[in-house]
Amino acid sequence: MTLSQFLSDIYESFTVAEAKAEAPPAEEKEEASEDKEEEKEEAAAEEEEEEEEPEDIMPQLQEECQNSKKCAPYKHHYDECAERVQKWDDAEEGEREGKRESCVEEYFHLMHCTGDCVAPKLWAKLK
Amino acid sequence: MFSRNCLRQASRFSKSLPIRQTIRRNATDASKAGSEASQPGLTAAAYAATAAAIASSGWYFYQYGPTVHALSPAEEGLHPTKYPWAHAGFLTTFDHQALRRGFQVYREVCASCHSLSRVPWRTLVGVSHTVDEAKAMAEECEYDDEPNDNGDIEKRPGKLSDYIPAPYANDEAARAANQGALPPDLSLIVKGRHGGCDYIFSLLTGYPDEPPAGAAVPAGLNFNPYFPGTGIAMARVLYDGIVEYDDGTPATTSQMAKDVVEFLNWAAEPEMDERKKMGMKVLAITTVMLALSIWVKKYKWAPLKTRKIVYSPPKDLH
Repeated sequence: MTLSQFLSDIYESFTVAEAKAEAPPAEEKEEASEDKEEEKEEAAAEEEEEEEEPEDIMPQLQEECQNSKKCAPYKHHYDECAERVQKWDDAEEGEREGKRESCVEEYFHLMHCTGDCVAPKLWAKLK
Repeated sequence: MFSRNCLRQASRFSKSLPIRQTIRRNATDASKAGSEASQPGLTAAAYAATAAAIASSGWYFYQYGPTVHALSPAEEGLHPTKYPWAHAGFLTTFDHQALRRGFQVYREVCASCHSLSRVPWRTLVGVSHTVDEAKAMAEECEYDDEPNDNGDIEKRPGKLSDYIPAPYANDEAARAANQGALPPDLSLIVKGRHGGCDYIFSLLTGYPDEPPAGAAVPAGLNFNPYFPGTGIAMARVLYDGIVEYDDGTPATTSQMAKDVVEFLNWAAEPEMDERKKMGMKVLAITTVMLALSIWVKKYKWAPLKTRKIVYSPPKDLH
């Protein structure tokens, strides 16, 4: 929590003029009809999209972040590790060297970097 | 007296000066003479002391320097990412629309396994639902009634004062239904886990499509990096569009996770909004008291600070 956020909170607390528990019914109807009209217009444009289930933006952001300059080294390390494991799995039993490696640690480093990168972007998109 | 002392000191000073000079001369002579003799020993001592210093600090670092971890990173679990929660500020409240959506997610998704046993229906009134909505939801559930005339306990529809019913009769029933894993009660889960909101959000959204290469996932468990040990009995439950929100918000995985975590934070800290308001009251009253105290101090001290005490001796006596 930064000082600027605290100050903006104080400013916001002064700008709240009125809060109603329930909207007046007459206005609600009008709004509803307006909404319906808007919805119809939108529905015409986005009919195909509405039928589909909403798509989460988080995996997309994560992928972008993993390819960003900051997290690319971690991604590289993880990919290398995954490759080694794959090689180990592909090799026949007699030719295998050492134990089967676990890439959990590399994955942790990658996800740690990705998480820090995704958090502010995701929060800007979510309601 | 004074003049005599001065003279004495001057005579002493003049006498002592040549003696000091001779001493200095002797000292310099001695050091010059002895330097060649003592230097090799001193140098050796310096090297030895330096070596000992390096060795002892190295030994200490070897003993106590590196931290020993009892757990491997996988056993420790990945620390959750810090998210900028809207309600985390000093003056910010819960987003009550999010609470309403979050309750819907809890009711439609989480409630099939997790209880919320410390939250009665009445607490939802005015927070996320109206009285009528809360009553209607309570009436959908059945509760034990008072014993009737025959002593039998009948069922009655729920009231606002009833607690939200648990999915299982007891912990053993819950374990039996979940392959031995107990779904924890969610009433205080945000307070009961390290990382709080961040942890639960990360856990809900952190299930990878497939576990990382080489990770050991025991049978019946699922891989989640944020869960200590990475093997969690709960499978991923939040999928896009699993819930349909009343207010038209797209029910994506991350949106549902955010809403339900905010709701669970409310369940754990229902007093938060009121507490922050109380904090503002305290600050406001304190500023008033400060102003008052300064004025009172000024008023009380004014006569003391401005008074003048004058002693006028009686003139006739002397």
